[in-house]
Amino acid sequence: MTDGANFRDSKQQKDNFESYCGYHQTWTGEPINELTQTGPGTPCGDYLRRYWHPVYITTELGSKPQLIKILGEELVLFRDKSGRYGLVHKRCPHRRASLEYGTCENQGIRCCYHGWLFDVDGTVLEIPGEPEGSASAANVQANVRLGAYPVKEYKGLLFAYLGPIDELPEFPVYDTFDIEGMVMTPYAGPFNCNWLQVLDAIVDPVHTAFLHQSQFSDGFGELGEIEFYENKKQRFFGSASRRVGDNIWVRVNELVLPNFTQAGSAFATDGTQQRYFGRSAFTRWVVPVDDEHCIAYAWGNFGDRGDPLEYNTPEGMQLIEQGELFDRSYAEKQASPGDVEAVEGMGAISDHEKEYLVSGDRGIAMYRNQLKKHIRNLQKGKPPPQPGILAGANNGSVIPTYGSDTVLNIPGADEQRDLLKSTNKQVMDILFAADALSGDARDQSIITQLRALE
Amino acid sequence: MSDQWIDACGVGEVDEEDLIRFDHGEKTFCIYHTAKGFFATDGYCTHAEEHLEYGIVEDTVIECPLHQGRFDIPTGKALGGPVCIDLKTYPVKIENDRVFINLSDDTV
Repeated sequence: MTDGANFRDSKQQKDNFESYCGYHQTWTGEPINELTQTGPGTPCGDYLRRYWHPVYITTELGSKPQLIKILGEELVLFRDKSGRYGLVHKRCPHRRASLEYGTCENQGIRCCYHGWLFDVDGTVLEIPGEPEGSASAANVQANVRLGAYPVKEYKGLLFAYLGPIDELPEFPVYDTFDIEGMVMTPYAGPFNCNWLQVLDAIVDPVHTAFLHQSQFSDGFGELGEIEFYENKKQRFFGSASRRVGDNIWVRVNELVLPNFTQAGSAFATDGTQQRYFGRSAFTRWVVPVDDEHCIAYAWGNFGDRGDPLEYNTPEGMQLIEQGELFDRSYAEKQASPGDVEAVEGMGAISDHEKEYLVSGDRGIAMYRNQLKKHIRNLQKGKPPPQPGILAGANNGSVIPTYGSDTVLNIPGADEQRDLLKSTNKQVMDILFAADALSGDARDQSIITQLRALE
Repeated sequence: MSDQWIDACGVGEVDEEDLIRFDHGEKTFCIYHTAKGFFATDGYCTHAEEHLEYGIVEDTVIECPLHQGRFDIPTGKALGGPVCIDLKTYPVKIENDRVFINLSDDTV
């Protein structure tokens, strides 16, 4: 036997459980520091730095350098006059002036203070104040480099890799980057809180039914049967199977570690009309700015297989991201809270120690613990897997994804929960079985098999 | 004592300081690979019946993914709140790089 029996009977436990026990409850609790701290040199920071992340929207970068903060690092993003992108440490390695006041040159960025010119990879190109060929200038060339990171422009988003350059991974390409007829519009959704509490929501199908029930459609409010899945320790899914009249609606949310998220549509699907492998409203990453702020960078996806084109506006994309507009009065936020209110209300960094998870939070427990394992393995010298491991041999290097809606005409009674579960399983089995295919062939195979379930 | 040794998995399928889920018929188990060797327990935490498969292994302790209840893997002993009921353990043997678990009713 163990001491466990005493745990429940202890005076402290009793005091914390009686009515009006507010006096006995502690106010503070620790966050899961292992997952919330992402600055330079932190274990989670090291782990996140092994991946490409979106850091800016291409069209918003002008001819001037742009100060940004990513993973706790103050950096300057710029486009030089030959069109190359640079992402460099903010402070000049000469006298520590900020390069946000510099100028973009034909090659690289020039510091405002003494005119030192740096290439996009951090090489010192010019030291105007020192005699050419002097020992001093030679010393600079031999010893000084501006901290810099590689940048990749892709379909309107600028991605960067902030990790060790000798471990530079391939840029992961997901199937949703190239769906015929899909209009992809970049957006940025800023949150005034830690990245983890924003990321949690994607594997939390229960919140979709309660928080968002009035924001998207009535069908969203139906909880349905929920299942969680995991794939190669790199991907997590939550699927929710709900009845809407004579239809069964299976919605799949997806998280590829560390921070890539997709779901079903926001507005295109309400369960009243059949839909076969409709794709995600967003193709999205949750990127830490620092430990108390993050940004969801994404493409909104519009078209027959995405959300209606009428939502392809700045306001439409705010609604897709969090169910409500971002900038609202307090009264409006209380009347209809969205994701921002739910996650920012936890505090800048949630005191996770005081959480009490239940079975509906299984997706969250699964992915948080897998993150911890990858982080600890990296500390022991074992690099984490890249999203590319999810691409099958036949896919080339394109990663098949699952975030989707399927609405099937399968009449039945509300009480037939087993029918919801079995339909859920059939839909997921069809999605998984198509992994060997790619592109349009995969989509068509899935769609054909889904139709056959009716 | 009767022996009912079931082939659960290959030794290479479980990373060191990690575990995998093993289902057999109606029952479910966890197979652990620790610095002290391989072990097996029931799959569900005795607290809220969540599967331990996504739990964290540290040395020879398994921490439940949902409420972080901790058990000693070799003995199944519950190590402190919120878990207070011990986890059932099963003998394990390694043969030809395979992990076998003994599900005989006589084992405790």
